[in-house]
Amino acid sequence: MRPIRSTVAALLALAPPILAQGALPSYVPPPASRTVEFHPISDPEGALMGYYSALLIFAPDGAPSAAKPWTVDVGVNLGYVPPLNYDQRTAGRDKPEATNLTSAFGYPKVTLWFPARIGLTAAYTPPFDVGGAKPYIYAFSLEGVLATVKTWEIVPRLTYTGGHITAPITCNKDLATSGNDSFEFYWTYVCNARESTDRLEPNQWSFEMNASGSWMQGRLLPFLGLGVVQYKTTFDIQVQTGSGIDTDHPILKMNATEGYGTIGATWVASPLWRFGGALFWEPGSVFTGRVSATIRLNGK
Amino acid sequence: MMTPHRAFALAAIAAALMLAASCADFTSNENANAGLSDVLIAHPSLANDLQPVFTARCAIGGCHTPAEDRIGLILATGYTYGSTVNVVSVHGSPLLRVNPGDHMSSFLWRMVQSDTLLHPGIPRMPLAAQPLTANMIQNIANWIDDGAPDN
Repeated sequence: MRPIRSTVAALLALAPPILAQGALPSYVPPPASRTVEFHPISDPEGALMGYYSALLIFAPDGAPSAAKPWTVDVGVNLGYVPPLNYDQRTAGRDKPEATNLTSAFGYPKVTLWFPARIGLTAAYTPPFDVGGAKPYIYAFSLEGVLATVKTWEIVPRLTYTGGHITAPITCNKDLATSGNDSFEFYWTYVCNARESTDRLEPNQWSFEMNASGSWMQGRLLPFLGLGVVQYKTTFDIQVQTGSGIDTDHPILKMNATEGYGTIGATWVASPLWRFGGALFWEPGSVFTGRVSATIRLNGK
Repeated sequence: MMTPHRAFALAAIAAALMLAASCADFTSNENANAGLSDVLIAHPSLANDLQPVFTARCAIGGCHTPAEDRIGLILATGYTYGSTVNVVSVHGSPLLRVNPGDHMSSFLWRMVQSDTLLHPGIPRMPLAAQPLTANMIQNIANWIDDGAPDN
């Protein structure tokens, strides 16, 4: 099988679970009545949701670099997840939330280039257990070259990110051995000595304007981007009772519109391989670094 | 022309700088008062002065709500009086949760004190959260010493 066909086959293989997820209604909580709390991104709970939502923004981790029609890029984005300090983890209580479960988050991704220098990217993080957190995150982006100014290309990009991550954040077994009487009591009586299966659901659209240049005869492609993201994030506290979820705990929601910026470069190592690095900053949420590696399966 | 070795070295330095500079860009300051009034009241009302504190700090998900009903102690609106006044404490037996006229022998008042000798073996309430303010605690004492009226 030629590379292009195998890539298309891989894309098609990815499509059913992603489309199936999209075709289903959004996650439906258990039938028992649940309290829904809306938090602004400025309060402790909202800030935590905003922090993780920002880390999931599917921003470009390398310079947008359009290719001839039907070219396929396959790659991976990897972002650093900075650890939170004690105050940031407490979310309005003394008890810390178990938020430092992983130090990296990544997306395998596939981009198909269409005529008119338009690219469609699909990304999917499969549910591998990482430090107790299990992601099922997907993203789609549509980008195209809007204009060329000297050696700089102006590339708008629209992205949707959805799915969910489950993790023992509210009730983590670390509480039981924390050496703090209050936390151990909390583990026994509030957590029922069971880890929670809390569920973070990003549901966010983002739009960026990127400018991508060309240096060193096209081997180094600097870029910068400014974006705006609309969050509709849900955090479902799922404390386990042994016979199901303790429905007395609320479902938290955070709706916000925030701005962010990226700056970085892609190194074109060969006609096949490209390596990118970028700084990502969403004021009030996170400043972090991201890298990417991409193989261009055909074309230039 | 940049050699691969130099490019990798530059990339490694850039990555190290990125990691060093990365951080969560927010603060999370707890508001111990939870937006509640924090004034000392000589003769407080259960409904108007104490219940807002119980509702915001005690009757929260997983704790003393009607649905959760931890040890039969419900501190939600409409439940507090019947759940505390002249009711024997589960953890503090034979003390009553609220002994009208005597806050020192009322386990509800003892449980919100930071002095663990007043509630041996059980952490201070609200659990795993900032303590009630001195005024809030004194208002509970004043209400009990007034005879714990259902007002």
